[in-house]
Amino acid sequence: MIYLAHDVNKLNVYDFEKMELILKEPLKLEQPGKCTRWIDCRYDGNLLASAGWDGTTKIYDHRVGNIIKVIEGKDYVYCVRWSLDGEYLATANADGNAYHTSFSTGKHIGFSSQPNLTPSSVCYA
Amino acid sequence: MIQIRNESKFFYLGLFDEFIILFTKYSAKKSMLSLADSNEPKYLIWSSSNSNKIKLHDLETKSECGEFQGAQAAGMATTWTHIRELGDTNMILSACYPNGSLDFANFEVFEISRGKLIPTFLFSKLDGVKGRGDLTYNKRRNFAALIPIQKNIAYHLFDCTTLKIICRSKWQKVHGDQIESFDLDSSGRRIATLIKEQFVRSRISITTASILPMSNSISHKELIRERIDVDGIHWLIAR
Repeated sequence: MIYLAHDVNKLNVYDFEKMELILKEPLKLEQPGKCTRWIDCRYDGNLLASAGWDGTTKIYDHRVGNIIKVIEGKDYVYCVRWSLDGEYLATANADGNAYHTSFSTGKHIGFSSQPNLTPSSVCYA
Repeated sequence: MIQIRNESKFFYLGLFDEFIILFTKYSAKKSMLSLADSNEPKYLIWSSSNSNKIKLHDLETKSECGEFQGAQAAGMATTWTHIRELGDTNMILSACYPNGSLDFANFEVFEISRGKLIPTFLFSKLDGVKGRGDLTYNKRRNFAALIPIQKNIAYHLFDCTTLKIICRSKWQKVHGDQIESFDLDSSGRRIATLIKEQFVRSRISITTASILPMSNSISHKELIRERIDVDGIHWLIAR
């Protein structure tokens, strides 16, 4: 599959082999006027996370086109990344923090910050 | 009979050589997998915009491990930064791309050891790079693709096992003006690129190609050409 996220808050999902749209209607990613800054697919390929300028991180099941979880935040989210085990999400936020978040509870369980630095990209190891 | 014996001897010797090669590869890979006991993350790692400082946060002790300098290009400060774990190894890849009127990019590989980042590979700064760039990694083949150079190289394919650039895929006509994003599929055998046409305000296209590690002439085929608003940010993921 190929996922194409548009700045206009749409996500098209194509079949890589046939190059046909899987979802006839594009998946709506964020609130109108707030763009999507990053998307990341879980390693098993089943779930997609988007980081938005509306301050939320949203988790989608692209197979049915549904949002299954919304993780609230205070400020723009620049980047989101799944952990290898698919249990956690790391986000880089404009509030100056990188958050460690549990996917199952949707709650931040840790964070990292440094004065005068803004996280731009994030990952786990 | 003697001839048959000799042939079987060579056959066994051949098997032995094969075993030695496999064992060497296994040992090399095993040495990179000190974090691979479990896929549960041990560190939260982030890079800052502009200066590309890297912070390491130990998730077990909930403490900061320190601040390290990520990839830089001649000390230039205004950059997009990308950071990526290399599968379940204890390595990360840091990349910086130009922001604004600058046109350089660079990347560096670090090993995580006892809460510190140890540089293990430093690429040389490249000029002629446009856009915020992208970084894609495939765990199965341990390849990363990164740093497109406008109208010259579509992406550099980096072997994260040998720490060598194994392909500089040539820019093709189908790549238009700017490669906006790219991604290796889950098999690591194909790459998709997202093309943004700067002067045709409402068009993007997606191309795909089979990865040929030692060849720079990888033929890309256009799959999709869509008319959309191309201002802003677009991301592509292939799975």
